Amino acid sequence: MTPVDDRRIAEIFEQAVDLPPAEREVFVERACGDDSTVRREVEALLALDAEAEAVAPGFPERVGPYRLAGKLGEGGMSEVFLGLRDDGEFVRRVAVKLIRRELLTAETMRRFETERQILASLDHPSIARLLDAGRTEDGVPYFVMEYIEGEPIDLYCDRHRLTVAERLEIFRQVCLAVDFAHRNLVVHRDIKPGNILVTEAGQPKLLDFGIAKLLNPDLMIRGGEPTVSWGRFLTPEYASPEQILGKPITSAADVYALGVLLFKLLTGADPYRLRERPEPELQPLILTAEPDRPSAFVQRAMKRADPKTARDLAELRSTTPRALARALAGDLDAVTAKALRKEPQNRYLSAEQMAEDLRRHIAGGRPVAASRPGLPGRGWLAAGVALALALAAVTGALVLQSRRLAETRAMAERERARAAELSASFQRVFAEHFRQDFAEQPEIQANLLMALGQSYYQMGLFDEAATSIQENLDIRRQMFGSEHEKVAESLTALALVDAAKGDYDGAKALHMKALELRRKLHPGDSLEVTESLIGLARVLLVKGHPPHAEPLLLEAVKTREKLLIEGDVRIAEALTDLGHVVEQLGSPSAAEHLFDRASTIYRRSSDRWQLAVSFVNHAGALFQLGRREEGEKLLRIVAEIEREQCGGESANLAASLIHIASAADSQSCQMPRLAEPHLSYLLLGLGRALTELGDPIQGGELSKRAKVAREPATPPLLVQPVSVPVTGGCVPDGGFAERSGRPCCSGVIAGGTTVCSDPDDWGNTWRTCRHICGSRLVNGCVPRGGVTDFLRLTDCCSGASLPRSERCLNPADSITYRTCVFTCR
Amino acid sequence: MATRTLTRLLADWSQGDGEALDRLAPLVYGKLRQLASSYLRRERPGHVLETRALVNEAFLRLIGQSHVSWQNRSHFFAIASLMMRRILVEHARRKRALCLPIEAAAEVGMSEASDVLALDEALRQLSIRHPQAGKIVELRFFGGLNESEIAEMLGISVPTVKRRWRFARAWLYRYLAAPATP
Repeated sequence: MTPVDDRRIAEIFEQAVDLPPAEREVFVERACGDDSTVRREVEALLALDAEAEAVAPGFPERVGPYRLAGKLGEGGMSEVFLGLRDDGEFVRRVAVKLIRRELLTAETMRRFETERQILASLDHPSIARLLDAGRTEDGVPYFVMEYIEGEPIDLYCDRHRLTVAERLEIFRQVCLAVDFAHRNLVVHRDIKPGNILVTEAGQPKLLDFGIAKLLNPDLMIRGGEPTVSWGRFLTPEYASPEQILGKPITSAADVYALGVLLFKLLTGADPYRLRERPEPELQPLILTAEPDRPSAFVQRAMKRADPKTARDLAELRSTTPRALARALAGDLDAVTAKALRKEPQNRYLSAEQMAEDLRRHIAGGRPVAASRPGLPGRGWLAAGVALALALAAVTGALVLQSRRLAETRAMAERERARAAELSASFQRVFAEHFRQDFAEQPEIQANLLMALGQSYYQMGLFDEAATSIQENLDIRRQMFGSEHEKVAESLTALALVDAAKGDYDGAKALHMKALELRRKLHPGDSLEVTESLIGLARVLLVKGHPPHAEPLLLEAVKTREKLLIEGDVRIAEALTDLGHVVEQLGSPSAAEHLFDRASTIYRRSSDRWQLAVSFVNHAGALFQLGRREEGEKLLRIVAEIEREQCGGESANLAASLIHIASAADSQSCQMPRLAEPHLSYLLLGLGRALTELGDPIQGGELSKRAKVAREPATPPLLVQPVSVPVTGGCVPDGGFAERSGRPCCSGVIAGGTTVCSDPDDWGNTWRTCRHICGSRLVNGCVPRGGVTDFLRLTDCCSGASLPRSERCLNPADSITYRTCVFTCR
Repeated sequence: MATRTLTRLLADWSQGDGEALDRLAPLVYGKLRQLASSYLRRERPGHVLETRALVNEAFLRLIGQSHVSWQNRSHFFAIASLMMRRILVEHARRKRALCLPIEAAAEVGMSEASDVLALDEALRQLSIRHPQAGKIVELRFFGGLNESEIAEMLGISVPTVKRRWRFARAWLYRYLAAPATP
């Protein structure tokens, strides 16, 4: 080819390239004449040019102050370019995300405008910052984000052969970053390894926070039917059931995705092996199948004919397959299972909770430092846990879980509900384990079922408790026949659960059955019989039959004094119950005497709580006798104990005040007018609290008094539901926001579930509530206008700056609970 | 060396003083090399280099903000593109690494099959037969200049830059696919 040819080729090419494709052929033919060499060359180059044009980036040269220099990647919704700010001031590298034109709808644009400010405010070391957002000259929205030089978290971990512990540490940082965003009202909705880059320094950085929501608020999947193909909008492995069903997406979806991510980091796979399945199978799997357990996955890999997979897997984690399976079994299985629950409300309440569980796991399940003596009236439970411990000890695999139980038991009150939630997840795994493992050993199975039931009881999961204990009862009946102390024990346990549920008739019948059985089994004096006597008497008292309760308790006191050494707290327990009965029967002086004896015993025990309770009882009797000063002296000691045990304000302190108040009331003293209506609600709450704490008698009594005191008072603590237009996203104090015709309680979020599920109200109400309520939190107590449901561990609003839900899940705070339920319903 | 001298050299070079380039080049080259190597140290397979950013940074460090006309700036960029190309080629020779200027990677799409050395050779061939097309590629790939900057520097229109760029691209494609053919 001559230089002349070269010039002609270039000339003809450049002319042809400006023509519409259809006209090019004719032009080239004419221009080249019969020079076939040039023609062949030009045609080849034009073909290559067409090819290049087809793949050439059709992106603008500049976006805002940034010059686009090549594509970094593309996703279903957008393309990402490297942006350079080169206006002569300085060179800054950014990632510029351009939204695909075909996705632009009026709705998208509207959201885009309203939300970008919020996103821009997310400032966290593990979150890639949104630096800017706007629209190009053509009206295409773009996001400018911090440019992260790193690689996807899964690849990073593998490449560095990070151990399980190291992986957990990075993952925890991710959890905390996600939690930070959640607390700033931003849900990611598309958490996956590709969106979490780890820098060479080992710092994870989350990309694209909140952008998924902006881009496709509801077009991901609609009404159960995928409206768009999987590959485009969702990463199926990381999609939660609610995302597939088109239900409201909350932070719980992120928790789910974190669960999948954790699974992936631990095993290299996803919990359903979705990658290996055809598309039609994906949806049913995500919606219904049980997720795999990480340890089971590794074990299966080990057993398979090809052991190489397991070895590779382990090598990438700098360990052996066997050690890996061991490391994953137990805690990590449970944590993943918890995050992967189908129902959003059953997952971790927050990503922070998940991180905290992992922290505990990494720390080797060490006991919580902030422990304190147990709550009063819970001997039964303590025994149950001891039982669980003893049994678990014989089966090595369960030791960890039982240690958790013990830990749970020892936890401080404020942490208790949160821990119970955690424990519940372990319980499930626990239950699953032993149902299989001990199918051949019914006695162990039965005992474990009992321990499980007791733990459920402790957590306030009464239905679950009843189921477990009933199962235990069935097995025991089969093993021992109907007449056996073990059967009586189960009946008693069931009775306690019934009483806790408020089914006093059921409880009464069960106690009577157990009592009858025990009298038969233990002729003469026996402690077992006294247990049933006291149980039955308590129910009778709640049902308003103190005369029937009295002889039972007299017998119990007598028997215990006979069988036990002087000063045993079990004697004090019986004395206290008897004191309550005679008080009800109108003999305050007899009651005072009994309470005094009980207090003397408790004074010598190390249980400060029990002493406080006893003093409260005693003080109540003293007030009734008009011995006001002595009573107040006791209450001051009580208040001191309470302060010493939990510091500052608490429901218990309120309880003391109630006692003062109610004592004064029964004396016909005029209480200050203001206290009157408060009293009824405080009584109600305290009644419930005491029932929860294992004292249904006093609890029921207080509730009864509360009812009397309340009528016909208007509830002053309740904030009237107000439908005030939300101005500037502000919800009136403690009130309701109404947006788009939907009422919305002020507190909003519950365990990661949007109670105010008004899609238009994304963040506004929540933010406001946080603002209103957050400032008023005193010692974990939820002030008025909030809701906390510590029993179900689901609903929780206004009180806490959620999703740090443990704050308002104070089990001792029934009073607030009460108030809140009223307020928000 | 003082900024003024550098600016002076740039001006001289743009006036057609060939010797000015000889004195200018080592300065630009040294600075660019220093910058580039700090980026290249962190390279990974598939890594791409933002040459424009590097050149820009070199410019700022050598000359700063003060009183530099656009003309001078673009001349600097022209030199820098050339230097950048040399640096990358030299680096690639030493390491046989896949480290392409980002634009080259994105637009020629050769991150898999080819590397800087292949591109360099193709560009050399292109420049022999189509000098201006070669210059456009160099400025764009290694200097990170955009179409209007290139047009101004070469004294041709933007549409011409576009057409010639397309020609150069097709030509490189063809050469890289089958080096012997043309």
